[in-house]
Order: sequence, then C-alpha cells, then structure tokens
Amino acid sequence: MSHAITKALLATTTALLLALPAAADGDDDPWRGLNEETHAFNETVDGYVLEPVAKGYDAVVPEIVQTHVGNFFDNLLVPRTVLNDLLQGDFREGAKHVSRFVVNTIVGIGGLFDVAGGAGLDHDREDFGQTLGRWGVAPGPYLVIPLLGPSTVRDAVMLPLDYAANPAFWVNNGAATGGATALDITNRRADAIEEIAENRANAIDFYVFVRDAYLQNREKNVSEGASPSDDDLYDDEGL
Amino acid sequence: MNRIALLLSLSLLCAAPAGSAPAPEAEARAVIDATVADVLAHLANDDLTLDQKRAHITDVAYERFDFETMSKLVLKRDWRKFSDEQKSRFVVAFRTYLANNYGSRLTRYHQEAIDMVGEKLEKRGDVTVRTIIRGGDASGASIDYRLRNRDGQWRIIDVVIEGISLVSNFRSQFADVLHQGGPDELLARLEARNAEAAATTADAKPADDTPGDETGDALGPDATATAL
Repeated sequence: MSHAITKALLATTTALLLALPAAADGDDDPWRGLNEETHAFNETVDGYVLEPVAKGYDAVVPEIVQTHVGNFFDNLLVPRTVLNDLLQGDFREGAKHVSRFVVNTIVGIGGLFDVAGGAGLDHDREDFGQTLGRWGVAPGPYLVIPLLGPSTVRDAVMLPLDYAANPAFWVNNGAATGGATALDITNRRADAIEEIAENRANAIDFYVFVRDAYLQNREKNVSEGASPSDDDLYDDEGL
Repeated sequence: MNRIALLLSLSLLCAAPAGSAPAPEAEARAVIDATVADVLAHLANDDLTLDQKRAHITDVAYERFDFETMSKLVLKRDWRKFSDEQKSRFVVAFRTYLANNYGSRLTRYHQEAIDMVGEKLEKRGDVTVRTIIRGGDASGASIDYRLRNRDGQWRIIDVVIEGISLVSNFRSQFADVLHQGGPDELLARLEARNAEAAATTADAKPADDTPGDETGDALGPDATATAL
C-alpha cells in the first residue's frame, strides 16, 4: 500500500475517532433501526447454523478436549494483550502476560494446557479498542456487526488491528486458517449454549438485553473496574 | 418504674464503648458471607433434589433482596405512573421473574468457590461487596453485590456481574415496553414470561456457565483471524 494512502487512511481514522462525542446519558443507540436488523440477521444465522453445529460439537467432543481447544485459541490472543498492556502503560500486566504466553506455549504444549492459569497468571484480555478507550476515546454509537455481533464504532474501527495482532492471521494457508476459525467459533459457542438460550427466552427484549450487557461489560473492561459515577442508577429519592 | 427504666437505658448507653458499632462495610459483608455460604452449602448437598435446591434459593433470595427498592430503581421515574395495585403486582412479578431467570442457572453449579475480594462504602450509605468466582469455566468472573440498609436490615439492591448491572439492564429493557404500552403492557409481559417458566420446569442438563459469553458474540474479534 502506498505511503500516501496509508497516511490518508490513518488521518481519516484518527479524525473520525476524535470526533466521536463523549457518550451522552441519553442515546447510546442512534442507529437502532439498522442495528436491530443486523441483530435479527445474526440471530437467524445463529439459530440455523451456529447453535446446531455447536450443539453437535458439544455432544460429540469430550469436555477435556473442548477445554484444550479453548486454551489453544485463548493463548493466541495473548500477544495482542501484551501489546495493548504496553500501549496502556500497564507494564506489570504486560510482563505477567508474557510469562503466561511463554509458559503455556512451551510447558503447555502449544497452548493446549493452561499451566500458567493454574499458577495465578490469568489472562485479562486487552484489545485495541480498550486501549483507545483508556486513552480517552469515547466508544461512539452502538453498532451490531453482521456475524461478529455487538460492537461500537471505536472498537469496530480497530478490528483489523485486532486480527493482525493474532499470530494465526499470518499463517499463509487459507484452508488452515478457515478451519481453525470455524473450530474456534464452534468451541466458544458450545461453551455458552444454555446461557444464550436462556437469555433469549427470558429477556423481555433480547436486543436491548444484549446491547446493554455488551456496553456495560465493555465499559468495565476499558476502565478496569474504576466505577463510574452511578448517582443516577441508585437514586430512589422521591419515588 | 419509669425512672428505673430511664436509668437502666442510660447505663446501657454508657456501658457501650465508643466505636463498638460495626462499620457498615463489615455488616454488609457479613450478610453476603452468610448468604453465599448458605446457598453454596445447599447446592453442594447431594441429598437434596433440584426442586428442593431451587425452592431454598428462592427463599433465601426473597429474604436477602430488597425487591421493592429494586423495582423503584428499575422503573425510576416511571414508577410514579403505576397505580398502587400495579406497584404491588410489579414487585411480585419482577421477583418471580428474577427467581425463574437466575434460579435455574445456579443449579448448574459445579463446586466452584466464591472468593470475597473486598467491600466499599458508596454514596447514600450503600455498600458494595465484591466477590470472584474461583474454579469452573467462569473462573475469575467478578460478582459485586450492592446492599442498602433499610429499616436496620442490609439487603441486596443490585448484582453486578462482570460489570453488567442487573438494575441497569432491566431498566433499559423495560423502558421501551413502558413507553410503548404503559404499565399494563409491561406487567402483562412479565406475568406471561413467569407463566411460561412455570409451565416448563424441566431440569436443565448440567453444562458450563460462562458469563462472558452471554451476549452470544462467539464470532467477536477474539475468534481466529479470518480474511476480512
């Protein structure tokens, strides 16, 4: 890609992100109509493809193997976490995650065994969207991405970087990458079959449930638990 | 007689050393400690049937949660739109709804442990008690309880799982329904859900519990790279 085009893209992205207004209490979902349609599409895909495949996988594959598969793909995310730890100035976390990666890749045989986790070296995932959030970039409007699910403008823009930071991205074999992706998705979906089915059935409004849960959880991950002002949330005076 | 009573109570006041009253954080934490221990003990007890466990958890919940305050917090300004009769209906329906919604998840418990991480005094004298799940698939997940002291009793007014506040989530969900159909519509929907849940009391098969995947974003950026 030519130098000029790269510069132009970076400039546009930066301008876009800086222009994102700080989240007003009112409307996190100005693109609600579009989001609800994408959500409905994702639900259809999940209902016809993802969930049935995951159920079959869950029934056939032993639990211990599912754990290994999960560990393997989680390990591939650690380099991205380390990078973002450093970008956020979290050097202690970065060092912890480096240790985790080394231990799990070598002793844990390619990441299959979460040896480091047993030693207290947990994986507190970081991605580029969270880093931008720590730097003060507001999340921007809620955005449901086809197939990928809930996101925000800030996080969606950073997705390409997130993918590039995954070692698997650089494997020069399309079939292998595709197969691995399918396995990763299926394994993760199998982990949450009951949870998602229940949430779908129980929610008064599943679209809103997902949006609210996603945004709250995302905010927690970005601010690392530094509790925002919740004056309004717990105020029952005059009611 | 009155004089003696007065003297007795005065002496009691003087006998109490200064600062002996337990700090609110400690009191709230003690409530959570006891509740968690009680619930976990019942879940781990193999002599109990699933229904017995569910029934006990429901009893504990009815005792430890302040559903009236929660109802007000969830509905906020819309609470005033409810008539007195609708208010009581809502508290009951919401309570049943929560018990159905979360009761079944607890029965998938697989001998995980709960670590108490700390307590924090909040505005309005509330206390947040922070816990973390240890073991199982949800290991490392944070569950924070917010308690409020009403009439001398510490009761839970919110549960925040991995940053997701129950009160906030339901407020968002209910707001739409209320603005479109009013209190009757919301009550109808809640009561319909409760009826459905009562009709399907099949035992859930034991499976993994992963709070982080509740939104179904298995395809999120954490999936292995695909050619975009």
